[in-house]
Amino acid sequence: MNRSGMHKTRSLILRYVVLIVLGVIFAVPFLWMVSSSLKRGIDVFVFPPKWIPSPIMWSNYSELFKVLPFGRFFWNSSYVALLSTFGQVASCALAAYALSRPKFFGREAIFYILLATMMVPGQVTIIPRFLIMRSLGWLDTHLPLYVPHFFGGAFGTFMLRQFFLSLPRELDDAAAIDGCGRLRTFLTIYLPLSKPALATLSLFIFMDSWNDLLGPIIYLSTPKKMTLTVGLTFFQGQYATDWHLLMAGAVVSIIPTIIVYLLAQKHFVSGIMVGSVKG
Amino acid sequence: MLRKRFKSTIGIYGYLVPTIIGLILFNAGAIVASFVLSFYKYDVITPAKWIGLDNYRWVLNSKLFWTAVNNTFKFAAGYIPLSVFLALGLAILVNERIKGVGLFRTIFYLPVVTSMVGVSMVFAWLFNPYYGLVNYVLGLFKITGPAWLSSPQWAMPAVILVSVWKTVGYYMVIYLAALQNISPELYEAAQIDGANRWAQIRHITIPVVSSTTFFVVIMCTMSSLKIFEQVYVMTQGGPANSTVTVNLLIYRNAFEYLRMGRATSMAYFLFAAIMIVTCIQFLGQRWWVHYE
Repeated sequence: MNRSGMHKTRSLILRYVVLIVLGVIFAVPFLWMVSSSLKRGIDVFVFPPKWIPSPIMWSNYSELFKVLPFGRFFWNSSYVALLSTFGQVASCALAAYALSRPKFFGREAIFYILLATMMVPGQVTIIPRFLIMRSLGWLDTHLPLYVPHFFGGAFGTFMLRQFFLSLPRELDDAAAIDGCGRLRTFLTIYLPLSKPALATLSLFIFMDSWNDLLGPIIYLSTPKKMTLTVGLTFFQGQYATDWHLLMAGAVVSIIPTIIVYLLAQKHFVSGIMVGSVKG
Repeated sequence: MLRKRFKSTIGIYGYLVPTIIGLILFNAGAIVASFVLSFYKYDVITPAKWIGLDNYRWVLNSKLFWTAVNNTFKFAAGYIPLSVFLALGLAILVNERIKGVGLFRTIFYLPVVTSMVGVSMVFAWLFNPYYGLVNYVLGLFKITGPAWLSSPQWAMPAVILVSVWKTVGYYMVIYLAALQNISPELYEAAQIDGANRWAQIRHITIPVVSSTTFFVVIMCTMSSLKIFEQVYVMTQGGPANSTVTVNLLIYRNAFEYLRMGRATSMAYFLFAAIMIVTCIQFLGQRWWVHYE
């Protein structure tokens, strides 16, 4: 082997070592969570810590579902997240279509007002939003969690608009010549061609809704109405030292989003790109 | 002709109805309502009472508010540089065309999709002073680990570490896209000139991605100013108020003490801070960002 070859091998090994060390550091919290969740209550405190639990306590998970209505939480999270996703994608797609190619009076104004709302921190609007929900009598229901999603949003609108603008303009002209109206062009040409962008946006909204903390804690008060992530915080108070159960709870709340992510990885990356390349 | 155009404009507004309602109710309207509310004393139960600038005065005189401002800056001072360096470093590492690199990209990105509540619970366990893994590992190096989340000095560093772990993958992906846009010829030219890997990173990579760094710094600053979930779940602002943040105070005032006016005035201070920081960064960028 010549000198540059050896040099190359050495730098390759070095890169792997750095990657593996960092990879382990990043993965440890997950591995430790799973490991702790399968231990007996007393084994959790064994020193030095053991990575492979013995015996493996799968029953921690069934105990979890006995102590708290996790099935109910799971359902709450799922249907709130699905409705939010549907509402947001539908309303953003409509707005994105209107703001993409057609020219009309007031277009610029709406565009810039929408853009400006992205700069405003949520803390400024959350209190009036809460008061609106309260005056509608919607407190302690799931409505405040998903209904606002049916009224558009800046991020989704800009993301889809960007995508619509990348579709060839000739499509509109061809559709118009064939006597295809605006709504039909939108439904039968734009939407089917935008599946990747719609999928990406759906994933982002789904995750945000699933992981949301502030919404459920301010709007909900009945424990069994809670979402999965927030339901977990009850656990924290009640079982402060039952780390094996707490970790099992953490696994249950974290795994669904990880699975969704792994199944749809490529959509995530393209979505982040859209978010970072503003135009 | 004119009638047709008018009809078409009306038609197009049909698509915007949900968005316009949303803007009025939940955004523009809410921003104005919030501003008006900041001049009132309002506890939801008794009718609102105009008190002028009292809420703002109260906030400025509140010691806890300044503690929160201080803590928020402390968080930013740790979180922003750590995130930027680590994100760029990870991106450079996973940008290599070597086997198995996809697995590492996934590992570094996974924390981003997890819920802060779950993550906070896991880290509360990892940072447990007596049985936690972190202090165990420190012990292997003969270091007595601090009490982390129950120590006023170490709670904030712990919160910073969790936040970096949780979010750095997002910034890594943004950097990765920037790195993939760098033309390989730049590096080839540098290699011919005898520049080693470090020199290439310093003189090519870092200057070329500076506009991305600018974007990442802005994003990190915004999320630092707005930090809430981590402290709400992990420390509740404690111990000894060492992790109270402005956003946590807004939440408490609004939804625990029902002092809506005070909370909105605090939110407006936060809003102003975010605007100022953004302006400074936009003005400052021409000194160090290289656009192609």
